[in-house]
Amino acid sequence: MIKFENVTATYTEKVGIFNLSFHIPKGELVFLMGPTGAGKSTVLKTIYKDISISGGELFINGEDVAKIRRRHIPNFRRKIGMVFQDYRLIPDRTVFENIALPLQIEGESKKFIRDKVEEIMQKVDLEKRRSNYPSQLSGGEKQRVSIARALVKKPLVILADEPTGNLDPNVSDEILDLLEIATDSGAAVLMSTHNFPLIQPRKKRFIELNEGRLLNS
Amino acid sequence: MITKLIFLFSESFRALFRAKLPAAISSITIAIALVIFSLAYFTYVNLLGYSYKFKSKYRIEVFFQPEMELTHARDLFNTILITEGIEQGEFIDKEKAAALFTSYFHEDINEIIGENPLPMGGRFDISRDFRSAVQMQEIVRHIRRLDGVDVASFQHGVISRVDTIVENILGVSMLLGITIFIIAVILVSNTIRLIIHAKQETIETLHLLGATNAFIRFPFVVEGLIQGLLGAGFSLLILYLLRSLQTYMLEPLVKIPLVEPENLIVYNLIFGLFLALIGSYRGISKYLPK
Repeated sequence: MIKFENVTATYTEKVGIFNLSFHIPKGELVFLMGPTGAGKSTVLKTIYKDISISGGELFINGEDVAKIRRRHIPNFRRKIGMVFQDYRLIPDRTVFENIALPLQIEGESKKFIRDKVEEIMQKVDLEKRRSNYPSQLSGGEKQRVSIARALVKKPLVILADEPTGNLDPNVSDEILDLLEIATDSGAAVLMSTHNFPLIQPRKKRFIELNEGRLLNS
Repeated sequence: MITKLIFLFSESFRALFRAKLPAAISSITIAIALVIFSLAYFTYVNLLGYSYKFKSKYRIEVFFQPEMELTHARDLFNTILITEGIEQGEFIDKEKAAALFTSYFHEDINEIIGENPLPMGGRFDISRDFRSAVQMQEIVRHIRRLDGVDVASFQHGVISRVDTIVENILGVSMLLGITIFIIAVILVSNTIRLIIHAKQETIETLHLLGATNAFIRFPFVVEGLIQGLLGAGFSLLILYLLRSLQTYMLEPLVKIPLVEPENLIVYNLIFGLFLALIGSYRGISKYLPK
């Protein structure tokens, strides 16, 4: 599903990621580990094409990311679900509206959107918060909304950039549970974190980076 | 597609109601720009009206040779009448000339010298497009070349002075109008840009979720257009109040016949929408990838 073959993407000569190769198959949750500045976010950015790769090959569901034209990037991004450390919820939209957003971008019908959002809200236990605005939610709830928004369109790939970075350990565990559930539908989930104690009990595969290079995969 | 459009339109209206204060600031900025522009336009139209009114009095006076027969004089008058630049004319026969003499000097020429030596001639009004010293000079030259014309003249000095004054005033007001318009575009663009700047994070998030530039731009542009319409509405209201104030306070003291431009409402709406469209388009474009 996600395939890196000697991928290099740099900001400056020494900052970026260098010759990364790894593969994440369908339905697997993989952690991307490393200290701050290791290149975790850069890996995710190359996948959703926020930065371009300068060497190697990167395939998402068989599609060569380097060959995607600029005007096709929005379409490509719709196949990816994204979860961020700072949640990136739209402040003037309710929980329901935030989750519905990716489907509205796709131009889905009102009924389809209502059904899908209801279904996903049930899954992440947000039904009672449907009419609340982000400012009225706790950190854990905000992150659940963010995950629900990523899952609602049933993406092939889910990228989570430090999703537990602002959360306490109990809530972080709940978030990991939700990301694990996401793999049930066949999505490949790549989650970046520097919190090793959090992921250790999960016995999942992890990719370790340091200074943009692969240490362990 | 229709679902998407309905969503985008409803988003535009909702965004307007969610951010009432920025929308109000933007609309008021547009309204102020339109009021200033309308006042400049109003002044321009009135100046133009007064200059046309004044220039409508421009005329050429022609005196035929004294010994000319009446039929010949009438033919010559008609020949001048069809000259390009002549709007209409009045034939002056010997009797009319004597009457004019009396009206000017309060004396009867027949009594003074026992006969009427005054020549026949004509007074000619000038077509609107030819009311300038240069063009009138051309017409006079043409008339002077006609057989039987003794004198053809107009008040060259006064007219060329008036021409210069009117041209200067109109030029300055046109320049002022253009300057105001450019300032208004910049002012409105920057106000809307500031408002959009506050939504920068939302725009980034929409991008990451796979929204196209058009999808992101559309609600902002529609929102801008609504603000433009509101701005035009405010502007017309302010102009109406100013006009009422002028009628109430100044009319009893000085009677100034003012012309109200016919299409002021339409112009306000068009310029309001135009300003908002440029403003929101420029504003949002800054935050969209090329």
